[in-house]
Amino acid sequence: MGSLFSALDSASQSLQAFERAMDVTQNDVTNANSPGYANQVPELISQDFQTDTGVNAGGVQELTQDTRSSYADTAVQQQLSLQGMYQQLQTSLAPLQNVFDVSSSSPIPSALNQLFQSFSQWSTDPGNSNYQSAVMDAAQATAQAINQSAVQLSQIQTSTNQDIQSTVTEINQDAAQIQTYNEQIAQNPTPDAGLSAQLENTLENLSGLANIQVVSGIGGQVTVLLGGQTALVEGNQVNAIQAVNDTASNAGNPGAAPTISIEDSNGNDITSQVTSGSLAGLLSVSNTLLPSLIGGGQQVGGLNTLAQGLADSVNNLLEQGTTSTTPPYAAGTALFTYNAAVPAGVAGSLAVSSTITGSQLAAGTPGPPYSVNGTALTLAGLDSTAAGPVDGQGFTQYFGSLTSAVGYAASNASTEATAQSGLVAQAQSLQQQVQGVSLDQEAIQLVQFQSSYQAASKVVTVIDDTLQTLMTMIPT
Amino acid sequence: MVSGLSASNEQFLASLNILQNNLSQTDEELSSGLSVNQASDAPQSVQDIFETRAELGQATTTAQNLSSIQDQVQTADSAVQSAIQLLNQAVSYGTEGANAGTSQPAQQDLANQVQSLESQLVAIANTEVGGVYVFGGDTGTSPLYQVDTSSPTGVDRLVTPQQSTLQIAGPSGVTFQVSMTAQDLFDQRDVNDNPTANNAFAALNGLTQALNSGSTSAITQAIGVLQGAAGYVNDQTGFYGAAENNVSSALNLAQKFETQDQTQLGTLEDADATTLAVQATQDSTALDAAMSAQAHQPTTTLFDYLPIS
Repeated sequence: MGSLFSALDSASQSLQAFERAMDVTQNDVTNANSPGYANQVPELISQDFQTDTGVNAGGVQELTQDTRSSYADTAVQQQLSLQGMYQQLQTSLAPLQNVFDVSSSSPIPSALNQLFQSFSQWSTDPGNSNYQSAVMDAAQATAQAINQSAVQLSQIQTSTNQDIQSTVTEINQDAAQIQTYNEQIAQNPTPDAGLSAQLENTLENLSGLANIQVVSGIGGQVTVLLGGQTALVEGNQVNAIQAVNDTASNAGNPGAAPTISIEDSNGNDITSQVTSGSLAGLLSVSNTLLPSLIGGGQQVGGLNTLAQGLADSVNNLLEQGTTSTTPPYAAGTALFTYNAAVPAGVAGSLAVSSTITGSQLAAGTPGPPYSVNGTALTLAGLDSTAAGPVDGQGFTQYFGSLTSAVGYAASNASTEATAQSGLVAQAQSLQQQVQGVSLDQEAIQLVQFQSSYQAASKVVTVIDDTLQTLMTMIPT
Repeated sequence: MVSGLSASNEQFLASLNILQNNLSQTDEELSSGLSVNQASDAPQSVQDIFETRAELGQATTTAQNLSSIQDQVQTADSAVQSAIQLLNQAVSYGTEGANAGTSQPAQQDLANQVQSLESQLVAIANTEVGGVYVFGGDTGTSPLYQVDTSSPTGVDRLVTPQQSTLQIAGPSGVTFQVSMTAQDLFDQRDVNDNPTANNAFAALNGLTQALNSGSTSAITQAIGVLQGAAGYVNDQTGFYGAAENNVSSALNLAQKFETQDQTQLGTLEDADATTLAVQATQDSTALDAAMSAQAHQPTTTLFDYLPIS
């Protein structure tokens, strides 16, 4: 048979259990808006109660349950990775859209337009020095516009590569932070909702930077895999990644920037494993889009193709033309120069020949039959020929195709980023439903625990009174 | 980015962001008057926009070129017409001089008048428009002839004989010739550089000499030669008529192309103000409604009803 003292002991344990439950509730309320925090649910477990034998006097024990769902967290992390990639693409493509401007004052198409109009005007009076000067000025402006765009694209390339380095640094910092949390978990295996929130917070930040897979281990330690294959964090070990110039990538393509590779801690190329996150967006811009425009890796780049196509087409016609009006017909001179030894740097080296003057522009064709303005007329129509001189397109058309490609990439990034924001919000909503703190629920619990605590207190008081009564019955 | 906001608030902000982006886009289009302000606005139209602008620029330049050439062709045509009148006038003087009743002094007076007509023909051959000698051929930058009574043709050539190979391109790329040289018109020569029967200068000079000689037969013969030369020059007016037609047609076509290109460019890149105004109103209303709805969301929890002792 249980004694009054064992009942008192049981009531005391109950008070402690309700106190812990209210502590948990208080912590939930305090962290209701803390990033990464998962709701902790106090569960009350009744103890064995064997009144016949008096061995166990019953009572209640509090056990805190963590509502964290690895599925909900993984869903959020995956959506954050995709959002990180598209938002990064959106950010990185904004300056490219400025280079490939579509306004009527867009430098390259305006300069090309001016150049071919000047050829057209010159064709009506080839000997007119004003018209010759206009051609020289327009050619100069065209070369400068292309040079300027090449410089801007190179600056964007440099800036993007710097962003890749800083993103890799941030990934490694996050990995180091996760490793620190793993160590703390190993030292103190007791579940810690605060530590868990900080870990989740860091994992979500890391998800925005790269596609990671999180594998939970014993005691809550996590293993973080990049692309599901390369371990960034394993228990107490961090395997830092690094971004390096792939020096073999641009071999045989002078002037082209090397592509950027991501290497694991053993120097293995893991670039292909980075498929989302802002790092993937940056790699896509640096290794794919920019090389297609300004050259890089094994690509010559569209702007260089345009510059070389323009220079070669104009020069060929002028060199086949003549400045003479009577035989013998003197051959014409090239208008443009560029560094042919550096195919991926033509846009940057394009210039008007320093040796040519307006009067040396060869407007005529020696024929037969001779024509005083045959070359000038051909030059004037060069941009609108059916089989264009640059990949079968006219110069303006070709530049339009480059601009269009940038536009499609930016438009796609913008659409996807907007859609992804919605998907992230959805995933977070699901996460919130599963493991978020409900203040209403917490208020109800608080009232329940308070009432239970008050009742248990009363029990203690009653037992105390009973014991007092019992004590007075004992004769002194 | 990791946020401490509740998921519903995040979702609300994401939706709000979409509405605000739509409003910004509409505002940008309305203020610029263009529906395409950057490549991502309409990547499928970018190439067409650039090409249409280039075509518009080319059509405008072609129209300007043709307009300038039209002045030269009209001036040249007018000059040739004047030359024909002048040669017919010389024939009249010759006929008067060949009349049996015309005295020797009167014949010499007529010779002087024919001489004056030859000077005028030289001036016509040297016709200039905007610094261009319209009968100067491929290098029409300096005077072509001067009067020289001692020369068999009565004139001196000041420049090496030129050909006129200048072609003018119309907006469709078709080219045509718009000028003849003074040599072709008034100073035709054979392969040995001797004046032919169509040489107007030589014919005028021959008539002057015949009138000075007082020989009726010589005058009559010179008149015949002059009539032949005048007929030849008259035949050349057909060339200028055709050239004027070509230039005029090409100019009309270039102006049509300009209009077409401007219309097409407008279709491709101009903002539709009406649609945008409706869109702006809709987005603005949706934004206000969303804000209002959010403002009416209850912000209380059960904690607000807990008694505080």
